[in-house]
Amino acid sequence: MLGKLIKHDFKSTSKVMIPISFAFVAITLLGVLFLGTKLMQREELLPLTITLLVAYILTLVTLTMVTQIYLIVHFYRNMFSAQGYLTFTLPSSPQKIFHSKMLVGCAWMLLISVLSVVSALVLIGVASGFENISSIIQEICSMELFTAGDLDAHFSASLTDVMGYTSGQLVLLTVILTLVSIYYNISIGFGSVTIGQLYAKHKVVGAVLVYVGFYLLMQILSTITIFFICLRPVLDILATPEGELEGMAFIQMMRSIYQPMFPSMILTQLGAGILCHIASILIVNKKVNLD
Amino acid sequence: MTLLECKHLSKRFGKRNVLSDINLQLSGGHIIGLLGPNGSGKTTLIKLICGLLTPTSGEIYVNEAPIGTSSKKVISYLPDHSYLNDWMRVRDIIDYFDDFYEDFDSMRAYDMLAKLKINPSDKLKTMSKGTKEKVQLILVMSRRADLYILDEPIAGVDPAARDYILDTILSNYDEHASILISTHLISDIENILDEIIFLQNGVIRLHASVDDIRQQEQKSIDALFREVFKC
Repeated sequence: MLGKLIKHDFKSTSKVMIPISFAFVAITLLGVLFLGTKLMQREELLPLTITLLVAYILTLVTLTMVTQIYLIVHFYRNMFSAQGYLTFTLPSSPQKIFHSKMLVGCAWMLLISVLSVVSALVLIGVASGFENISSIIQEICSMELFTAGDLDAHFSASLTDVMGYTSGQLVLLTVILTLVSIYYNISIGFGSVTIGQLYAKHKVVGAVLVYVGFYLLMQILSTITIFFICLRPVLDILATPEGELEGMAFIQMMRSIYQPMFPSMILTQLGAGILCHIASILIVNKKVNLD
Repeated sequence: MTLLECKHLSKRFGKRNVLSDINLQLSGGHIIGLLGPNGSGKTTLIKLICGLLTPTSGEIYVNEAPIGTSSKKVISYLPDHSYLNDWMRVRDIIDYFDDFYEDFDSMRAYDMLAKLKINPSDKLKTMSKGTKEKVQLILVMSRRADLYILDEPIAGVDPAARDYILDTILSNYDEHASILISTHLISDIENILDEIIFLQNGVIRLHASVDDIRQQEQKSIDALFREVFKC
């Protein structure tokens, strides 16, 4: 039954999601065409290049947001509006129906994330004359963040130095964080809609309020986490007499701030996503009240 | 075997009691009219049986099993409004029903569509309200369910369409199955009913066979309804 539910959920969402996916391809092709004209190499066109780059990034962000909003609205309409009368009378358990929508939502978000990365890599590849992708990643990771001017005269530090991970580990952590973020965003979005159904009236407003509440709670939680991660290194820096803060010691402190960031973000989002997921399952199983 | 059983069923929205202590037993092979004025709790009772609402208290059993996947397999439900995706073609919806309901007979559905000259390739959004209602009814009656629950199936359609709907209902349900029809257009369906349930202010006022009522009261169900629910 789950397979059938997934099949039909893919079918009904593809009506909007396929055009969005094509939009990613179209933007990438436009970027490739622009880069192919070598206009970027002309100094007088630098403002245009920067404008187009910003427009490209904004379009990717907008398309990703549109995807997420569409998936949440589709979930609401399919589950709790008139269509819910069909959805909830299907011979399937409510949690299977919910999980089908979660899986399909996550799958589309994953596709959009993959398309964003592929689009960016293609454009970087075209701009750099199709160097090896791993060498581009290596280059980004070994890019110097601090140079002689910043600290003592013989010192420099790369992204990997500051983060405390190798380039391979950074890529792996980014992939894990992306997957967890997808799950988190879908779970929070669907969860807010589901929890909003507990309101007797104005359920949509209730869902928006729940979403904003979750967002604020997560911001507060992140701020508290960052505060505790940063507290010790910052105190160490403040305790160090002026002029004695050597390059390596400084990097070590920076690393002790940045290194736990990835795991803490992954764990916080995963925990919040799971909590919201469990709450949603309990509600669709025990508290469904369609208008 | 009892097809449907409600035990001390109550539903409250906020402080308002919509259904109070409903006790009901229905067996197979009957057409039952769920009758009552607007706001009497007919739709709420139907939604509870279909699993679209959660009872405040009490229990519901279909074929002696609580409301869940097994009850949804044997209940074919027609709501009082459109519940289908407007962008879907009729053919897509038939595929959808065929995929999910083991008892769905797609040949029967296509046959009924052909009789009404409804093109299966048409999208719902291009159809009139009446045609959409007929498509929904065709889908619901193309299942070989144990219990058909039809919420106001003849409200808001012209008399000719009413005749078609009632004819479709009568000619497409199996003898062992039961049909629960909610309506306040009693005179139109009176002749097909075996039993009636009068619901008033969330309480069952009367549950009896139509023959018994006619014998005892010496009047039609419509006349009795007007008497009981006189404003």
